[in-house]
Amino acid sequence: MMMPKSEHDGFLGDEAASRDRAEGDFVCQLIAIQPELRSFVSHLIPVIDAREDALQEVNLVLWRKRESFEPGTHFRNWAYTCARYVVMNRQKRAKRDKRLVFSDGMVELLADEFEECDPRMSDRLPALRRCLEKVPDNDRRLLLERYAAHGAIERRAENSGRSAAALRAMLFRLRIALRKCIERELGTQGLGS
Amino acid sequence: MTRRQFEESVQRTLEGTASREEVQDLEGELMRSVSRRREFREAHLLHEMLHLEATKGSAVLESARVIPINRILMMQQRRAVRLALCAAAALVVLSGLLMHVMRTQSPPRAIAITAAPHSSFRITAADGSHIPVDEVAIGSGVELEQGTLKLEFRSGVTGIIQAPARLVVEDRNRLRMDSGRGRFHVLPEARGFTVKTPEVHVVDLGTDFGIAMRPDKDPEVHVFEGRVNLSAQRGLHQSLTLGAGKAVRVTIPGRLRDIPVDDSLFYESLPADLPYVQIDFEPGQNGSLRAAGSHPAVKDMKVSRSGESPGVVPGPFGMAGEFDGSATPLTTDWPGVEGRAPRTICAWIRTEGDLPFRQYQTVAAWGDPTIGLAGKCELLLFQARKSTSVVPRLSFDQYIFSGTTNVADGQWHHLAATCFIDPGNGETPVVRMYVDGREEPLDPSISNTRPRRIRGPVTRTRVDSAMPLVIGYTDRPDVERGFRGEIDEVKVFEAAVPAGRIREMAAEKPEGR
Repeated sequence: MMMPKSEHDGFLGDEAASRDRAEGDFVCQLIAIQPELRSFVSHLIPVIDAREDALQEVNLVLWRKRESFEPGTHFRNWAYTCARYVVMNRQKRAKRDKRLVFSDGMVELLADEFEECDPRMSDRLPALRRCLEKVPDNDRRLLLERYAAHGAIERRAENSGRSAAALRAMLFRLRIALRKCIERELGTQGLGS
Repeated sequence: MTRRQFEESVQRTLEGTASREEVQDLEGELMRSVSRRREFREAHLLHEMLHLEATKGSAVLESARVIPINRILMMQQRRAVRLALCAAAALVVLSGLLMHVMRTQSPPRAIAITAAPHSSFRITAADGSHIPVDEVAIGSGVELEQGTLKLEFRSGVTGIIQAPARLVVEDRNRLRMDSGRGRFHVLPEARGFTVKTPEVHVVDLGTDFGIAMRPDKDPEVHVFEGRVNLSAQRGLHQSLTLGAGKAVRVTIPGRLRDIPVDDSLFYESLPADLPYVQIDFEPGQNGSLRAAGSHPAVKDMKVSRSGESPGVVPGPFGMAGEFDGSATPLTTDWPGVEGRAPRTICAWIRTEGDLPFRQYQTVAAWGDPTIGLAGKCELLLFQARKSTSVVPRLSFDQYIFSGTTNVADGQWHHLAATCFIDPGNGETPVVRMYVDGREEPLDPSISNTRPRRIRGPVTRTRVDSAMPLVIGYTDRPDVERGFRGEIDEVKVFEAAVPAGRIREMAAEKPEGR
């Protein structure tokens, strides 16, 4: 037999629902800033294998500290501040273990300038798409396959008879050209000098 | 390190194939050059964007797939047949429409628009061409750059819209609102009037309600009378019926969050001027100071002093504020002009020329002064060195505009700075400064009109780190910013006031002052 709910039960239910909603909103915001957060963390860490671990730790810290975020304020700034502390703490451990890291001064400088620039993928992706349209089909496929699947360069090397090193060199050139094209599209070229 | 070596080193770091020595060399290069750091940052951002683009099924990647020639020919053939059919159908419809137009008179206008004085706006027809205000019809677009408009729908709806706003009249009882603030009074016969925004649809159930869509803020709906039906247009698409005295914010995940209702965001009727807040330093009956002006926020605005500071002394227009350079600003609870909205700050000031050197002296400011955000807006006096002039400056942090006239001469001067974002020129703010009604040449050596930023200045308000409108002092980012002298008749317009009006204000100075 189903027992009627007491007022107390109802109160707890409302509170739990409210908490669920708040946590749902938090998760949505956290997901929304992942591309920028990933770039922020990655460019502070020179070792590729350490980047994913650091990003995971940043997300974990953000989740644990979610109560300290004030809704309606800038989530992005709060997340970058937390991420910066996580990276700095990881730096200390990495230095003790003689692993390769940027200096503290370098990390501070890069983080400051990233926050100052406050890049948004939503602003930049249309520029990337316009620039990708200008890239020859084969080159564009090479670029996007590299990011779409692991080992794409090696597979293409096997199929095309070209060396993986040559394809990587081509990938580097394409990315440099794309970066310059996006800067032109966004009108930011040369403003940093 | 040559440019090429640097570029390749960045690429190898991205791929994780750079050696320890190479990373150390790269760090040295990055430490030395801000432009190299920018390139390094941009390379990482591109890396992430390519990852996003490649893993989401990019249209660009799709377009790279090879399509057999016979399929292309078949597609072309089908397209030709479709085009012929469409053209025939269009001809029939157009002939019908033409006959209809020839047989009927022009329908009565569905909407009338009245502008508050000095407002600046454009009306476009459904085909995008500009049309006069008396030809506004269903399908017309309205772009309100500054000021306020009254929309009167024949259906029985009156809306007061504040700039900056973009609207489209979709139907005789439906409005699309892409940005701006609007308060709508709906008569019973117009029940069902709908405002569609990209984030929320609001359907009236006989009421008086407001919608605020501001840059970098979640949209808000405030109900003052009656009820409305709301439905979020993103994420979870939450919907509800909202009653009088309630307000909600539409969150990014598509929820409707309760917030306090705030009628100070909206006009109830068309104002007689551009929206402005004025602090005139005239004490009321109980000795307290107050705000005046045409802005809707004025009616509930609090103005406070710290004890007896700033002092109140005779000025050019009754009483003026007297500031001794200490950390005692006149404080309000008004968040100030936000986002990219046009604005003008005016004030009468007097300061002596023989005071000890002080680089910055705040006249009026608001917003988020955190260094690097370009989130504040401040009119101040600036002196680069002890030997140089004390000149007016408008600062957004990062974006800095400094004048050339020395105003520290013991005389009263009228300062004004106007700003709007030029939509045809990216996010660049267009700033004009005036001293005593004359436009001030900017001094490029102490200005920075095009800093290295992707977005222009966006004044951040209503966040913890932001300050409301303050006069005579700001405590961030530098504690030595107290004004020394008198300030009077501070006016903050939510509009870029034209030069003629500035000249008129400057000409109001009484004789002998």
